[in-house]
Amino acid sequence: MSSEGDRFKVNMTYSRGVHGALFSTCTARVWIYLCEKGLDYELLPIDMVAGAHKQQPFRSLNPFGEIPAFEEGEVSLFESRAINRYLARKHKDIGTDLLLSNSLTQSALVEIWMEVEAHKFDSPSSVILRQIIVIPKYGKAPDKQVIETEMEKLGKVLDVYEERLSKSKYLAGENYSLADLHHIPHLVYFMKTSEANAITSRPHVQLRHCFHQANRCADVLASMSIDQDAECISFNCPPVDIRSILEDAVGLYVNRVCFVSVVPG
Amino acid sequence: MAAIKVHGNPLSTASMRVLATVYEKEIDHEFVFVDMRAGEHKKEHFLSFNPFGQVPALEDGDLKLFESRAINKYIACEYAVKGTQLIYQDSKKMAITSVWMEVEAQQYDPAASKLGWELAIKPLLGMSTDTAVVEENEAKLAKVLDVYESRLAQSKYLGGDCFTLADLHHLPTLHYLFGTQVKKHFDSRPHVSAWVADITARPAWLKVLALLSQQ
Repeated sequence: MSSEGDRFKVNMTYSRGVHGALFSTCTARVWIYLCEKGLDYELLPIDMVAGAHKQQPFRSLNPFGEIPAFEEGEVSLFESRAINRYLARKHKDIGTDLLLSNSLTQSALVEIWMEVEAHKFDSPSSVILRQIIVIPKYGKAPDKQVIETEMEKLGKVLDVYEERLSKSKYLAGENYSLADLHHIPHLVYFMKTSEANAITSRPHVQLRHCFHQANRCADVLASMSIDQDAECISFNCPPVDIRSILEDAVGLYVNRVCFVSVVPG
Repeated sequence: MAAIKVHGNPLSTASMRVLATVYEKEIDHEFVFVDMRAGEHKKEHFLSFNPFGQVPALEDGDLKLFESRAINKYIACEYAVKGTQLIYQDSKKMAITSVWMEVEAQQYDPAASKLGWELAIKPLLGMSTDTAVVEENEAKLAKVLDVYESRLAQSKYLGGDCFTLADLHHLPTLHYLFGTQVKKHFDSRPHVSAWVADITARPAWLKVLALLSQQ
């Protein structure tokens, strides 16, 4: 009978993978990046109910015992934003360059607004989502005072975003970047709560952040996860609900090999 | 004319974080004092640098930046050839450094900042310390430092063999915490203690402390 260690060794033969669970906003942050780039990585489920994230062998990937962790060959990383920075640097020539790395000035602006997301947006939105979505699952009532306090903080942050986005198409400038993408997991859940008008009442925030392609997929996946009892569901191919979003010009929703004709001369 | 201007206040940990980088990189700079007691950071002129009304901000020619960790990354890249190398050029080594920069920001700083506020700053302002907040955050910080102890048993610095931004970013909060009861959590962990002694003895950091002592 194989042990937990052996099962993990087998998983480690996958060339590249994200250990986590998609209902977690941090795992989703990395997964949405991978969807944005159209890259084929494994999602390696972690049994959170059994506490696998707090034990070995997962703890050797993240000593803080939190999902996600990422492996690719000999590279082993944790912290979703660090994982995304590494991948975005590695994949800068695939699809959109999400770090705007051709210009140090522009990439500095991406860094600023990634810091803003991490230090100003993440904390109040996390607390609010925990009160509205997570706590009721344990049979407790949300703390309205906490929600009110955190909504006031978040409102001030969103006022700055509204001002910024009235002058700039995306947070870092005219181009979509990781700074925008990092907000998607929280925004998708937030839009399903009673506090969504904090976004809808700010036209520039709503327009820029809620109608991008990856948001639509993440939105559907998040809706599905809220209604599930299972901690993690892994799809081998896109579920029916998002196929229509993914369909390309010829009506296919899966990757396929295309032969490119070479014009002589 | 100085290459860059740092707008800030030496008492602010975030300002100190940028000053430490500027001194490590030996960059010609002008320090523009922002009078926070007079509310200068919330007024229109400073808000044009940082719409969140917080120090520090950086001017480099036409470029205006805020968020201390973003500023430091910019300085480390733009002035890569000057002074101390604070980031790795190798992408895999930089990935590890990036992980521990996130650890500082997401795991260490929330607890360390709250403890610094309660134990070091509030008494200076004549405010009373919330002992429940202190107890909760000392416990959190202790768990983080356990992870640091394991990491630093295998690696001289958090990001690898060399001092980088992953270590530097801790210096300002360390400075405040070492004047409080929290110091014992660092002293009781030998690898953490040795790492703190090493990074706080760096000449660039001593220059930041010299500036602070003039206030």
